[in-house]
Amino acid sequence: MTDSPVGLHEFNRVVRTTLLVPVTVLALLAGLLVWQVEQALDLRQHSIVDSRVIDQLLTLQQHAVDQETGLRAYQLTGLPSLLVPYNAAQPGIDGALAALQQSPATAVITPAQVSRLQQDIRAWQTWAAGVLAQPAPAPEAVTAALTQQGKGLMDGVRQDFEDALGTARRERDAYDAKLNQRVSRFLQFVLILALAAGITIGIFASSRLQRVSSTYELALEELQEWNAKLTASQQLLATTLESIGDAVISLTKEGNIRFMNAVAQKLTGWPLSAATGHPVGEVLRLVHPQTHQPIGDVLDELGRSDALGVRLEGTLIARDGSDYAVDAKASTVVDAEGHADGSVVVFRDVTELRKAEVTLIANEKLAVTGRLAASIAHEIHNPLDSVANLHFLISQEGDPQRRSDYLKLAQQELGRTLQISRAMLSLYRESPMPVQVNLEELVGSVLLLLDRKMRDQNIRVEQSFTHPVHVYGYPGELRQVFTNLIANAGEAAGPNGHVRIQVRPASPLDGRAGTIVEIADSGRGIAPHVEKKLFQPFMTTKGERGTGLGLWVSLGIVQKHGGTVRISNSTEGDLRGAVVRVYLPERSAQAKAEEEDHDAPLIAPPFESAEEWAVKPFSVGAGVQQPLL
Amino acid sequence: MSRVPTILCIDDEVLGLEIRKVVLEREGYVVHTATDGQAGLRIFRQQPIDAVVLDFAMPGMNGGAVATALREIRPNIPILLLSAYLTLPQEVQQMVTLVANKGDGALALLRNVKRILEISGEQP
Repeated sequence: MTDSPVGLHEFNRVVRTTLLVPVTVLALLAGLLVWQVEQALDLRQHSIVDSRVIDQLLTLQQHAVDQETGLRAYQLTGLPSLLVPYNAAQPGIDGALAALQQSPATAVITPAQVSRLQQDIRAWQTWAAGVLAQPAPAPEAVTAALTQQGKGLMDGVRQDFEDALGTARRERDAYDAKLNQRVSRFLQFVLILALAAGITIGIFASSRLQRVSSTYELALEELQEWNAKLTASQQLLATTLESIGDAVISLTKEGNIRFMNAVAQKLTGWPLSAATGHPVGEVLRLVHPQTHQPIGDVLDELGRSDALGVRLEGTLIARDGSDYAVDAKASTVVDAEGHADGSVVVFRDVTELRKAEVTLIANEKLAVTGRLAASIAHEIHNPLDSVANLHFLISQEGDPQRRSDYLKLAQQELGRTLQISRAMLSLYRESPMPVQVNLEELVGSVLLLLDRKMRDQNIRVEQSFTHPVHVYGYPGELRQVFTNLIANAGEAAGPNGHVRIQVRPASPLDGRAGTIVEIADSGRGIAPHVEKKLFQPFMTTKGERGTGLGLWVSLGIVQKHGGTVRISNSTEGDLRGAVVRVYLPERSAQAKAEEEDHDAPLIAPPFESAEEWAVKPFSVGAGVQQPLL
Repeated sequence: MSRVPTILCIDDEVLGLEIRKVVLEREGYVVHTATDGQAGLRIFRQQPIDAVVLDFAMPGMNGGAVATALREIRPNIPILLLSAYLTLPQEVQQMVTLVANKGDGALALLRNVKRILEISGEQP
């Protein structure tokens, strides 16, 4: 009773057996009773048959006595009228005998007894027929001998009757006694059984009920335990949600507020009680950082859509009008059947982070210049040296032709200096609008600045351009990107290395129309352990010499232009180092320019793998849902 | 110095090198030129050279490496190292007689060449 594990299932089982056992016992009892009754009925059938045989015997006897009485009266009187009973009894005798002969085999009278009886009756009747065949006798003529003969025969008949009746009566009495005994025994039996069944059922039911009660109690305890656990788990979840630093908002299928944790309430300025049931767009007002257009519309439908989630970066306008830069991630909640059932938005205040990123990006711009400083100094001082020397020669020279030649040379060298200083300054001077950029010219000016660096290390730079190579964008930023990427390639290639720059229109395989700039080097490629971290800020393979921000910022710039950056190791061709592919769409920058101004901060997303194109896998769409910039 | 000093100029900037040659020749020096370190060393071995005007930033061998090779052949050869770089590694500066910036002008160049020749004359 206390052994089994308890559960609702067990509880049901106990209840079931508690009902089943008494029902089974009673059914067995009923079966037994039916059997007993059938036995009794069988005995009674015997008794009935015996009684019928006895009746028939008595009828037969009556008729035989009637015949004898009739015949004797005839013998004494000689009056034929007195023979009427004799004749009237004859059919009765025949019928009774026939009935007796057809008695069932189980009857108390044996066929031998019946045939002896018939034989004796027929013998007497034969004798009687002989008496009747004689002429009506005179009363005195009835001889004693004759009478004696008839009496003898009838005595035989009587004896037979007595035998048969005796047997039949004994048999019937025996059956009756047996029946009585059976009935009384049956009554006793029923009484005892009923008593036993009653007691058994009583004991069983009581024990079972005890068990049911204890099982029920245990089940109840278990339920209470579960309830306590559930409450504890709910409290833990609630505490966890309240304690985490991120803001969490749970939305219904319809996009209304279901729950907000403390951080979410603080950031939005909405207390949970006020926010519950309101559409998410009212409480979580996400807008584009520059255009202030709402960007959170997608959240309304997320809870009933097939999309897995969406990532949003933008500005949150709180209830009191204050604003925060936020990074939000919304996911669809899927129920046990796999249907969308609301959504969860997790977001955090990244205002400080954005400020830090802006600073980092500014630093990186300086670092790019630093990287070029030695090269630029050399590039400017070489022509200046020539100009200074030419100035001396011109001042000393008397021949006008040679003076003119020296002047031309000086002009040429000054032109070179200007070109280089312009190339350098154009890293800083940015057009306020996206403009058409000739990538051939742009890459050429970057190479002008890097030329010295490459030549010093005897690095061969190969360029190939497939026209057209125009994109819309911000030339200063793109210069920064290609300065970074080509300088990286040069450093990877090392002394006597080889760098190849290919600029070509994007093929249909690349998706939209645009340009691919591919920079391959003859270096050792990217180590597997570095690959996943390439685009993370502060990731550097150059130790103290690198800021670790170059690729991170470059990716941000390219994404701002609607493009992607992919880095892999080349497995074919003569250059077996790293290959950087920059995809820039033809018009995206211009389209974007209508929404934002140019000096928005550049923010690059976390990157999963170097193999991955810079399209965030989490997002359901691009553009306004990811206002990165 | 009984004869006209012979100067070897090594620089990968061809135009600058040629102009420098004209400036020095006008001053009366005999000038040989080479556009890389290997060619310079070849000339240095074959010709009687009194001083070398060397550029630092060059493909292949840089000025420091060329200076080391020159000094291995002739430890006392006067070397003027020209550089557009603002600072040069300490060990490179020790390897040459004098370091000067490019762009200081022809007069400075002539003064510096004269000076390294004098320094070498003081230390026979």
